[in-house]
Amino acid sequence: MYTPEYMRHFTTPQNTGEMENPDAVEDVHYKGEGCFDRIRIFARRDGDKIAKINYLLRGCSGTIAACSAMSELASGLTLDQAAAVQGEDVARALGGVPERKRHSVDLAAEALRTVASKLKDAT
Amino acid sequence: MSSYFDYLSHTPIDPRVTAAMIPYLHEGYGNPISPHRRGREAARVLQESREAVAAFIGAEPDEIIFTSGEAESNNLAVKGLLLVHDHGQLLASAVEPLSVLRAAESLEKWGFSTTLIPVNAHGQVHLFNLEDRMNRFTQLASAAWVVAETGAVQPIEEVAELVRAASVPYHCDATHAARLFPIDVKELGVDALTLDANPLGGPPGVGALYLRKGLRIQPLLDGGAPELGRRAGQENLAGIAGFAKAAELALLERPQRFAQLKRLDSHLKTRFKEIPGLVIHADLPSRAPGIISCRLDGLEAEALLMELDQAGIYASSGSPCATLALKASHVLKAMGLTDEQANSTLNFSFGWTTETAEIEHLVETLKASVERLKAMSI
Repeated sequence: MYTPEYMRHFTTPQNTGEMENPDAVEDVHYKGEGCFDRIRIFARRDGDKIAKINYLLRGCSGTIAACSAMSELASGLTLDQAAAVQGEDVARALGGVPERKRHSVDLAAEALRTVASKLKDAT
Repeated sequence: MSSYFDYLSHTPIDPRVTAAMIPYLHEGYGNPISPHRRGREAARVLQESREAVAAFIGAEPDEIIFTSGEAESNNLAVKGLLLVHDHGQLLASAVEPLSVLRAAESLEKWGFSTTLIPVNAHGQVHLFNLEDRMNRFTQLASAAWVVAETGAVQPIEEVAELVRAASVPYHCDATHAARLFPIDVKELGVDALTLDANPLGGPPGVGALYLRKGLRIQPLLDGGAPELGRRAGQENLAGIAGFAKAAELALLERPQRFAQLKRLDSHLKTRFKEIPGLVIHADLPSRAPGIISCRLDGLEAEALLMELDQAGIYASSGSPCATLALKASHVLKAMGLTDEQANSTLNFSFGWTTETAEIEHLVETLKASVERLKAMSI
């Protein structure tokens, strides 16, 4: 049901925890019914690129795996590229997700787009 | 190591029950309605099983209808006892199993009315709420003995007395009570009672409905006349033989099993106090041992279940994210919990054969998982 990549990111999530002196911090939350997943994303930039992403969250295994994959995926992207990341990109990094975890990859992608837009606005 | 805490979903079958079933899966086959020797032998086994299940609850053998389990028994009771009337009201506790509540929804489509009896924060029915909602149109009251999800025990003697005084039939789902408490349907004053073999250590997919003699019921399945004309379809003979064996064993061993379960429950509850923020629901002295519903606010139950699963620990949750349900548990909502709290709720159910080592495994793993998830939590 879950891919090895999904399980790897869930059991050993990367880049968790608060970031010291981030260049941007954003909160996003799932807006549908019955799910209370939320993400606080921290970003540090290096010129026009994402240098590092960290995050805190409240969420299911899907959101943990998706945030971990998203944080790896984002590193080194330009701000424009990061601002265009979609849930499908995060799902691909996880080797695919079941339909019921689609909200997780969408939310992780939204978190990245939101923080990337904030960094762009600050330039 | 593997530790199993999902007895509500499936209770392991007692090996003695399996042994009692095997003959009827092999050389002992036969349909009880067949007139030949194999059929007669099957009919004998069926009758003896009916007597054993009847003895388990103090009923007469012809008051037992074998079914496919809790959901069918509940549907048969609720729909079958209402459909013999042209119209009327069903009174059901708000924490009834979904098989009762969904049956009630069907009845509403067919012109009957349903009134839910609210419960307190522990999931128990208040008698004044029941009395208040009963009227001259009430044709049936339904309140389960033990609320499966939380282990809350309903005051069913008082409920039965109140309902009987109003000459209203009372249906009680005893699926999760039967392994714990002695049952005498005549003494209790119930008119219909649901049983399921599996929580007793019997096979899944087999159950029974006790129906007081003289009470009219509309069968739900049309066909031949097995089960004294009250349920069509060939009986699951091997399963029923297993059910009878499980009932016999439960009758003999229930006091020791209950004492053991109480010890295990008390131990788990004590150990759970070591986990910061863990809140046990419906935690009254009367709570049914072997069922602990608890929540860890701020953490998603599905993530915790996945962590436990990785360690070989199997449990369940009231969270829609952890199940295929689209909504939070109606039981938790009726108790006043928010959707978010329901999403943080875990259910641990276990049996008298559960080992202390499994409890230690669960507590130590859960402690570590909570710590790990909290470290990345908002």
